[in-house]
Amino acid sequence: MARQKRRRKRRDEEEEAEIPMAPMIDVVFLLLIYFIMTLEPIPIFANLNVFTPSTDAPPKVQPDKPPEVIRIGVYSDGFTFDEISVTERQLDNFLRTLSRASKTQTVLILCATDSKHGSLVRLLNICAKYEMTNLSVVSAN
Amino acid sequence: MIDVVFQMIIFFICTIDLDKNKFDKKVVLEWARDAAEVKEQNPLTINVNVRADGTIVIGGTRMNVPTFRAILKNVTNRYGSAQVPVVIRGDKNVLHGRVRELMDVCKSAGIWRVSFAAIVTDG
Repeated sequence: MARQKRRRKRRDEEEEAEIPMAPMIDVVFLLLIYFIMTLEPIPIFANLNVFTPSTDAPPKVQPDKPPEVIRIGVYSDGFTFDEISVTERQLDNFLRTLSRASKTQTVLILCATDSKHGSLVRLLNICAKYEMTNLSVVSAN
Repeated sequence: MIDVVFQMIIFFICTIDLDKNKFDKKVVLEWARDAAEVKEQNPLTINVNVRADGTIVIGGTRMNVPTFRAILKNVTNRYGSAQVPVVIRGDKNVLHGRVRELMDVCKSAGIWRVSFAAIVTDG
């Protein structure tokens, strides 16, 4: 009798030690479905660096060497290159030609306050394409 | 199969983006397919989101220009202006005048270099 009781007790303990798998798998699948549903593709960003010089600071005088500054205007109705109205494709061509001569030339971007920010970013993208890194952004009214 | 499912869950947990607040979903960035992608961002970077209507959002919180000025002043006083990169995440349709205000705040805090965020690829 005592031996039978011991055996039954051991059997009961073995049964209790089993982990119920079915609910755990259910939960795991629910978690998986949640993660898959909430997954969002992360876009890859770029940071376009610019220098923002102060308009109050006096310009540096270099009498021996004329400053190599390219002036590009960003306005609500388009771009200008040295005060001449140009399209984005023309600007691309100009910058490509200029970058072949020197990539360290200063590009001064005059941005009108009523222009869209996207236009400035598109221009900076063209500059990045031709590896022109010396960029200054000045806001104009 | 359970092993595979567990591995997938571990993968999803590991790749979960905890910095979602940095990027405002209402900001539609302009494309810059030819620019170099950001590989690593300085942890001190301040990401300023500017929505199309001109609303400024930092870390999921709306704020105005004086508050941004105060935050920037606080951070630059602690770490130095040369150490704090500022990334302006301007919507492609926001007027430059609004972005200019932020650039002026950066200048007043001694930050002369700012970055404009753009999308290289959709991910």
